Amino acid sequence: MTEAPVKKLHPATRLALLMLTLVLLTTFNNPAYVAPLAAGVTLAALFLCRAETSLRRTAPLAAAFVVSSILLWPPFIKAGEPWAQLWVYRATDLGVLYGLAVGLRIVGMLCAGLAFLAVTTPEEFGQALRSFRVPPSATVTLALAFRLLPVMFETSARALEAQRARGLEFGSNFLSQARRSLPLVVPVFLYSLRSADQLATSLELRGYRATRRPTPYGSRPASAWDWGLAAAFAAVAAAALVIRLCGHGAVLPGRL
Amino acid sequence: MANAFDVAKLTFTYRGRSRPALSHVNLELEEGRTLGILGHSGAGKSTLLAILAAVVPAVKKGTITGGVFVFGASLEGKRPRDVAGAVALVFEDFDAALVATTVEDEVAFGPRHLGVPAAEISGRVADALASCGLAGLEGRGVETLSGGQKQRLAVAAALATDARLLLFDEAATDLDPAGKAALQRIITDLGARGSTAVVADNDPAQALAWDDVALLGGGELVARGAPVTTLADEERCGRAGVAPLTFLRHFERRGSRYVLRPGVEIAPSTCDEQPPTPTGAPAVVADRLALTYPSGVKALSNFNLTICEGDFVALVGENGGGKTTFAKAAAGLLKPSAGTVRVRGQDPAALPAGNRAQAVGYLFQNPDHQIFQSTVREEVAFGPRQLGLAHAEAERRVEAAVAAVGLEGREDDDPFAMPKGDRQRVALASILAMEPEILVMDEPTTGLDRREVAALMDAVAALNRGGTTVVFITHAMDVVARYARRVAVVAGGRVVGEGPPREVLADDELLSRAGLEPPLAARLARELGLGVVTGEELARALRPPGNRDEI
Repeated sequence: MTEAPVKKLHPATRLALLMLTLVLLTTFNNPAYVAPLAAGVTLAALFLCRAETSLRRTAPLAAAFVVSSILLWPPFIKAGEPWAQLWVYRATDLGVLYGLAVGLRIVGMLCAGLAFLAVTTPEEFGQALRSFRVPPSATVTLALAFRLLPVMFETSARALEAQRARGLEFGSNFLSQARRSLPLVVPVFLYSLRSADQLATSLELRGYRATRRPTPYGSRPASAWDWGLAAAFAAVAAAALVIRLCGHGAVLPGRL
Repeated sequence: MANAFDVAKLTFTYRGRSRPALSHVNLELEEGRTLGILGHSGAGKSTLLAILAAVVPAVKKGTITGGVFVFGASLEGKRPRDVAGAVALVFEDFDAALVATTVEDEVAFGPRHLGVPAAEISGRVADALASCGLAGLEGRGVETLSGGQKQRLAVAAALATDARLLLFDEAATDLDPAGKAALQRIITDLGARGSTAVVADNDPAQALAWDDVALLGGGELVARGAPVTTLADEERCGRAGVAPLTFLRHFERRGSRYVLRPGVEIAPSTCDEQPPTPTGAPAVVADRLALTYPSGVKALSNFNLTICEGDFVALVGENGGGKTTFAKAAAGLLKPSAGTVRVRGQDPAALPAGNRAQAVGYLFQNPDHQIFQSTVREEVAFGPRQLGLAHAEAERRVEAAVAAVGLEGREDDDPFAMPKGDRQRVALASILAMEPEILVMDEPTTGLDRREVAALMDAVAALNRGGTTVVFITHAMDVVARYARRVAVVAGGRVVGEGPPREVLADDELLSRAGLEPPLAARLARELGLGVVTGEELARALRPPGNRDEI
């Protein structure tokens, strides 16, 4: 498979585009404005970031966000014409539209985040953060967190298998699972403690903090194309803010 | 040539311990040489390496006396970061020492943080990955690598720092014989290019490749010298808890080969009697078994194997060949994608957890993934309690299981404070307390010393003599030669050959298909036209000149 087009951008540009996309999505609360933005983000995630696998996996979650947002927001919105009433549940037209806009906004943000993760490794994320003057220690910590999560999952899976091999059944309800989780928690916790100790030693022996600034590796400076794209996105985001300040794009002007 | 390190009258005691981990050790190594350090668990091997890397006492605290010099500079008051770049350490638990998410970033981490120019880093990364057989995997996620690949990645990361002194702490534990041979080549090459390597290991056959060996026992230096003579010394190896290669005293080393000393005679028949292979009812039957993980990795494909009641079967083969997957499927922990696996006619995955645990006991490679109680008794009693047994019956089982693994009198000990060999025996006891009909063990001897291996495997052999069917996965071919009644060779997700150990270990073509090598004793015996496979058998088969009574 060929490389995703967005992967060609500098990691800092990708991070900037992500941030500006989030700004754009939060600027409006009218579904007529949010829906095209969310659709555009989804298409970009699919075709420019090749994030179809993660999008497919999270599609049910995204649908659940939209439905729950449509159902949960109306009771908190008094403005607008009554649209539906069921016992104490009351929904106005503006409440439903606002709920739909917030749901679509969340879906757009989810897609943008997944698209970013699909094209950006933790090391690239660290590189992007360093471009924004975040200290190297914070970026290494971030990379370690990404690295250790699968290790923790693997250790948990092995501990689970080991206890199942000794006849442990967790049951189907949450309380039963929580009560019987001690045989899992202790081995995983102790392994984590030992791992953290060894990891710290390994980092130090490999020169971590031996120099003030690690050599940038595998990174190239941002190109004119990176700068141009970031500037264009910033202009679009600024324009969107102006449109919103002029009173457009909101079903509830007083709300975000 | 100058020394890479000098250790003089070194004594170190960990904080909170009364007995020193190292006591009055004097040791030095010339630059460009390779040194193997062998000894029993707790002999001080890892501590010595940690001192040379300035991890002890800066990170792991304790009281240190004596002098430690690396490349002529004292390590007093130094931290690991002070020696970074000059010294590199490859840890036994390599997974916990990997710091990046992609292969390339992992290898580049050291040079980057040591301030190596970017233009030089790419060359170092490429060289290190090529040396460790990982070229082409630069973009792969670390979490997607196999255990053997991760271990090689840890070595590559150490090589990329361009350290002049490389320390390997049990760095080959998870590697199959082919992987071990590759690591041996890497370390030998280090010596050839002027770097110095110190390798702590439990395998004396591996140590034959190094320039020198040092034996540690109880924290003291027991012997230091050329591998062939040092490892053939039964008395000193005994003090260090290392399996002696006594048969080597009858051989001379010429290059990489061993030839019989002049005048040594060969006795006629010296094979230990091996019990016949059981031919009873099938206990485990895998029929065209296939298993594909959710990640898409096809672990088993057309896997066929029948294990009879009372058998003692070793599963051997390359890393990632499918041994563990089959074992887990037989224990009902994984469901087949196609084909069947039956345990005494039943599908183990369909059994309730308690019944499954009684049908097949599964001993995991790492006891620390299961131990969670504060006493041996509580840990061993966990399984019987899950079965809902009465207190008296559970107690009886605990006592029997603890006795079977030789831990009587230690029921109230804290398992977390025990050496790994003892923890592995606690884990085994906790499985035996379920009184399983079949015992499956995944690399039970990894990381154990000679005495611990013997204690564990002798206990298992006694169970087998009592009727328990035993299946164990291992890379230790000497353990196969000594204990197994039958060997199944697994490669590419299926069984590619099986038979009695003597036949399998003599089949070079079959072994090489699975990335295996026969034990050194078996190799040398074959060159002499002998059918023996263990070191003891070979030692008995050879008589020194002028000593016709010695057999």
